[in-house]
Amino acid sequence: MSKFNHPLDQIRLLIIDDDEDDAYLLRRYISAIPGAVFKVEWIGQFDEAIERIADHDHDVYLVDYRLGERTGIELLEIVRPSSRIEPFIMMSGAGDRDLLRESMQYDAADFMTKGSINEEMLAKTLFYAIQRKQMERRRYEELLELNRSKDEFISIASHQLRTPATGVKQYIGMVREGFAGKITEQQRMMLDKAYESNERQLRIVSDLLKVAQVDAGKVSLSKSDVKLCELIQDIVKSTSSIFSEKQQRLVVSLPKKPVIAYIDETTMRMVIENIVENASKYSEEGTTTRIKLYSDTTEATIDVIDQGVGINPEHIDKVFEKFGRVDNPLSTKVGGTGIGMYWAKKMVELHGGDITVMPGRSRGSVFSIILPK
Amino acid sequence: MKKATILVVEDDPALNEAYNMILRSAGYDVMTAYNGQEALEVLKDAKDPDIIFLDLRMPVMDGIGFLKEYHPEKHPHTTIIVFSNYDARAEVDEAYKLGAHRYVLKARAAPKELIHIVEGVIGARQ
Repeated sequence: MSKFNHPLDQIRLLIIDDDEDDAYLLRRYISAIPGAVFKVEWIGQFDEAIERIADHDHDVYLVDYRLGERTGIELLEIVRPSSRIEPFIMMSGAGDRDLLRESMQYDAADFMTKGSINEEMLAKTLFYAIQRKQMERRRYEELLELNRSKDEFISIASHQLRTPATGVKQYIGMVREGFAGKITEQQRMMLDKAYESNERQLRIVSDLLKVAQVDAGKVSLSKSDVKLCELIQDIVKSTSSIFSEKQQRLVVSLPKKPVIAYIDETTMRMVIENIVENASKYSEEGTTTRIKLYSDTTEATIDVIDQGVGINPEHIDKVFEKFGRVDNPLSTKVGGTGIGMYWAKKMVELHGGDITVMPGRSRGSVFSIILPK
Repeated sequence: MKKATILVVEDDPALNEAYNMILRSAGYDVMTAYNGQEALEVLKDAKDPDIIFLDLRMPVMDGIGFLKEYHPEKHPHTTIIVFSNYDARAEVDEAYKLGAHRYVLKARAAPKELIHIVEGVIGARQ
């Protein structure tokens, strides 16, 4: 028998088999494999095996289908081989095709019929399974690295784009605000357009940064007990000019008793503002938006009910997708990157809550932010 | 009303100049530095300014490095406003921990808002 080039100096192997004789036979085969040092451990009990697997002490696992009252498939279901870097190889007394299929379904690295096991076959199976897993791991790490550099690139590029755009903002802003003397109406109109375009660019940069942070898992929340009634009243104040500009009304209904939620105030303020501002943007002039806060013992809910263009029920899932923009009569006018709602949902989910959207009773839509208390 | 003194610490020349023009036109005395090291040197010979607008990412010595050397607690009459386009939470939190009083995203502040911020700080003191 030829020597195998295996990737590890010593292979730590765990046999999980309730039949001591079978385990003994396997040990004998393994000790006869040339060119490899094995450290073999045997466990016959299902529960004990689960515990031992959780220790991450082995490089490869041989799992028998029959484990007393339980089965090897049940074991795979619990340990989830796809989430592990070590291969799990299934064995069975009979070469059952259904069992083979089932083993693959639960991500076993390979399947052996006990009757056909010999040293050569066992060695091949073990080495290839280990090697495949290691390749998989390397590829996974490469992908992680690639993703990291993508996030980093977006972050660096976006931050750097901000500086020149801030310069444009300052200088156009100064001329517009009369720092360089009087300007004509026509000049003002042109400068306003330039200023607004630049503002849009800055918003896109901010959106890209937000998504890069979410996708990189770099969002950290600093939570504290926040009085939701006060937060909402504050948001109403800060967004009131947006509504009055369009002759729209913003109506609030708050419970008498204080509602306290354990949240990151800055982040949740941005989430709620985002939804409230959208309610104005996607509504015609003269409409009314309602904010309603209510709570029970476990959660607080903030409903934002608008009389806007509404969302076609078919497109409701798209609202919270990354870069997902839903076409409606106002969408071109409003502009945007399709990131605000994706980000908002992620933030609420990080709080252990959820955002949902439903069509309004007669028109518009109802966004609900549900937060655990 | 006493004329307020402001130190602008900003490495981007176009922005530094813009902030200078805006603040001077509003009648404030403005000192300028292009990085943390320069800011420390400017401050050595001057009396404490009322406000420092401090960028975070700068060559030679960044904003965090400046805060570590400057010890804001020794200058109780100076309000430090971190004025940065890097809104990474960790960095902003560190600046606060080192004694910065406020954080403003540079990209948000139009010229008028810059003056509002200054008026707010000065007004609160009087």
